[in-house]
Amino acid sequence: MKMTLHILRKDLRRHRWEILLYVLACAGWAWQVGHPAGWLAERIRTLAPIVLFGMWLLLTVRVVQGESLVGDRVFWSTRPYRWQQLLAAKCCFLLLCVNLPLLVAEVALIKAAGIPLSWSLLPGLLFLELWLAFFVTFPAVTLAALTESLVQWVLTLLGLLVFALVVSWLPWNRLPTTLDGQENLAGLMGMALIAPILAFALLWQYVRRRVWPARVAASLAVILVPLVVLIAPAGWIFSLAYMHPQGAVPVHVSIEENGAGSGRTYTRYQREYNPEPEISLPIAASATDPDTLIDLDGWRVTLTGDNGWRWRSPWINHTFWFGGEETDTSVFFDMPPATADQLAQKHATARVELAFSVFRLTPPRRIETAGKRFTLPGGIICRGQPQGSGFFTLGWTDCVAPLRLPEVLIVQMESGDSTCPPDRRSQLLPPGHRAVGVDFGTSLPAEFDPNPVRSLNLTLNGWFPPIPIAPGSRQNLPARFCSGTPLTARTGTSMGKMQATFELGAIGSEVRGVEPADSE
Amino acid sequence: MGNAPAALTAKGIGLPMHVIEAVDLSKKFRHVEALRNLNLQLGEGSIYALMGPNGAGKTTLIKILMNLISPTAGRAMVFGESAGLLQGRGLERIGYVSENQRLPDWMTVPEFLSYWRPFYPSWDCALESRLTKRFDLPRKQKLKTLSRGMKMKAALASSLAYHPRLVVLDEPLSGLDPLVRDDLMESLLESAGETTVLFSSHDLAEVDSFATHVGYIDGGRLLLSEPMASVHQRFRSVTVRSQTPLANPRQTPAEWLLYTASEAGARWNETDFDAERSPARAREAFGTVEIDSAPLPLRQVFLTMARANRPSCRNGSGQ
Repeated sequence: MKMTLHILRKDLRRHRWEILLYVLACAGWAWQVGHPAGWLAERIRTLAPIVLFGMWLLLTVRVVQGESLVGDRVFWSTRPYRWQQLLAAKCCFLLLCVNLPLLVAEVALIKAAGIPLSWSLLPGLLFLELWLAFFVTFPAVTLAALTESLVQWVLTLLGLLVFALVVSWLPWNRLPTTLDGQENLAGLMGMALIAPILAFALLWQYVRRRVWPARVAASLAVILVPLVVLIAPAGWIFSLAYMHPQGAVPVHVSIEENGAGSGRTYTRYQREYNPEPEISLPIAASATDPDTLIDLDGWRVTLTGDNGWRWRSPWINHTFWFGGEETDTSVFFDMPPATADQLAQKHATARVELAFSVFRLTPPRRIETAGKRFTLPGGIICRGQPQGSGFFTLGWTDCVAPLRLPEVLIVQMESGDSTCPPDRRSQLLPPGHRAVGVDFGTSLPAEFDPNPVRSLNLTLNGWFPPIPIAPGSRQNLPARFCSGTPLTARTGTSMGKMQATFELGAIGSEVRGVEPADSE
Repeated sequence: MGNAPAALTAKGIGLPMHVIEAVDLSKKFRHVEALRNLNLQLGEGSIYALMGPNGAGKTTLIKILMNLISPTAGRAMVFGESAGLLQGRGLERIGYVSENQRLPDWMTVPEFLSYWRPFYPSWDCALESRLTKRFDLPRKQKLKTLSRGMKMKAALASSLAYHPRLVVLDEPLSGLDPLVRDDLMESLLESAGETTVLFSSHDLAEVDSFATHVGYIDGGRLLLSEPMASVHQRFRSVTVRSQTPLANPRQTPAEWLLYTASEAGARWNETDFDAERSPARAREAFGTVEIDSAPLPLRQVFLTMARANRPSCRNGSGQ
């Protein structure tokens, strides 16, 4: 411990000016983020995070290379350093000089955002520091341990960026890894592969100082990750990312009958921008439990018809949610024109596979919004006054939360409760309509962002059932939030990602589609 | 000097242990063989001068011994432990100074010395003070502003102040002016006491006066390694003179190098001189002649060896 502090003192003295610059960069960034509307803040909006990040990396690389682990001319390698003490000194330096100023800046930002400070925020803040240390400092330290100088470090980083560019040109889009769950899992697999190898390379350097084995290991990790993700069977990743439900399937899906009484129909659209026809199947999808919210990641449709005819769409990444009273929706997919032409004669039946996340919702809570500010579940603090006012009201309000948003937040407003003044185009809102807004956060203690203040524009979707602007109009009224309108809020906890298959039966006859009208 | 080290013995069996031992040591850099099956033993208290031209393999050998690089083959031992494991506590009794070692240039000399102090339990503040005075090291200048000689002095002071049992110096004197060189060497010898010193140099002039053992390395091979006295005794310049014209022998013995002859006499450098055998062999070749022999200066020894270009290592031992 004594020697660790001795080395640390030397580093603090040596890098005092760089530390000062980093602290100034932290302060500048925090000031810019906390006061984004000022003249100067506008002008340094892009610069401030770049300077902060640059100083962060510079300080990290300089302190690690202060006792360079590469080369046979370094001053310390023939001195009685213990590698544990050296590594501990460097870690202490990084925690003290990189993470601590950032932590202070984060606390200042939380306070500036009007969020009350409390010790309950500390675990989340510490998690955020660990998170940033893992994703930024750790790779920078490892690279610094494998390079001899700052120039070499920068050149290697540029090489890695070029490699990343080349990798991004690989045919990723040919893989059905477009669903969120698959991408997350592939990323996690990559991380699980690369992190231990980089940790090994770093430790190897500190323990043995034999640079080539460490460099080879790190290079292998960098090359292996995209390769493994590329060659990993997509079906296997999918089955890992989306498990079959243990008990009952929490979703119910059925084909909707055509409202005009003509039985089942599907709609064929021909969009201007797309040569392939779009087929839309009207379905009613609902959660089997009113306290469950389903967030759909994507679907795949299999059509089977006469004489063994069969066609299957790829997985279609299209995010929407349903739950509670929200049921009606549709699944759509593009189809080659010739196949779409055949479809009408095939008397096809449909099978839909869904990939989705399930959230267990808390009981609804009524929120009064009459004051200057009001609080939503999850520590979210919102301004009482929505953006704009009177006739020009924009219908949303700014909210902030410390570190993270709840995994899911549902806010609902009843038309009968609206306190908005009627505008020139509309009468007073009729009761019996509701507007809902859903936002998704994270299950982790904090999101990956040095700014710990999560912003949320509380926006509500249109009224349901829709309220036309005027009788017979195809344009609908938007749902505006006005101060004083009570809201109902629920939060949810993730129960995991799942998959389910539904046999929908006959899809019915074809209807040529008309472009749907947008709301106002 | 203070805490003089106890005699080194091999673990458990009471045999003297070598401070440094290299066995069949080889190092290859891509296609260049920097060391080839080098064998070396260095006993306690010896001052071993490792000589050789530039690129001979001196620095490579020292870097392997200091665990700065790994050998391709063979074994290097320091204090009976593998050099590859030399780190941490094991370095508390070793001082290493190299001409091309990077120093923490941003420190002043007192900062530099006080930084190392806690690393060494045997650090002698009085010795540090004496060395600082003797080397006339500045107190306020940063290392980066010092001349090369001053940097070497600072490095040497930081490597002697804790009474290391082994001092390894890689070309410590090259490029220094004679005054600085003498100053450094005198300090080293004064401070050394029972310390074992291994130093490399390609400057032969600096070795003669104080090395107890000498090794000559060229092309990665250790061509000679023996006590200085043995070298002076073995390598001699032999001159024969005759009143009558000499009859040159058809073939000269292999030990006679750089043989030149005229009617009045002959001269050669003998690599294995023996007070009885060598004159007898000369008389056998020339008849009745007057024979003189004088020790060869080291420069001549190595020039002779380099020109002869053949191994002359007698026993490969520095003891």
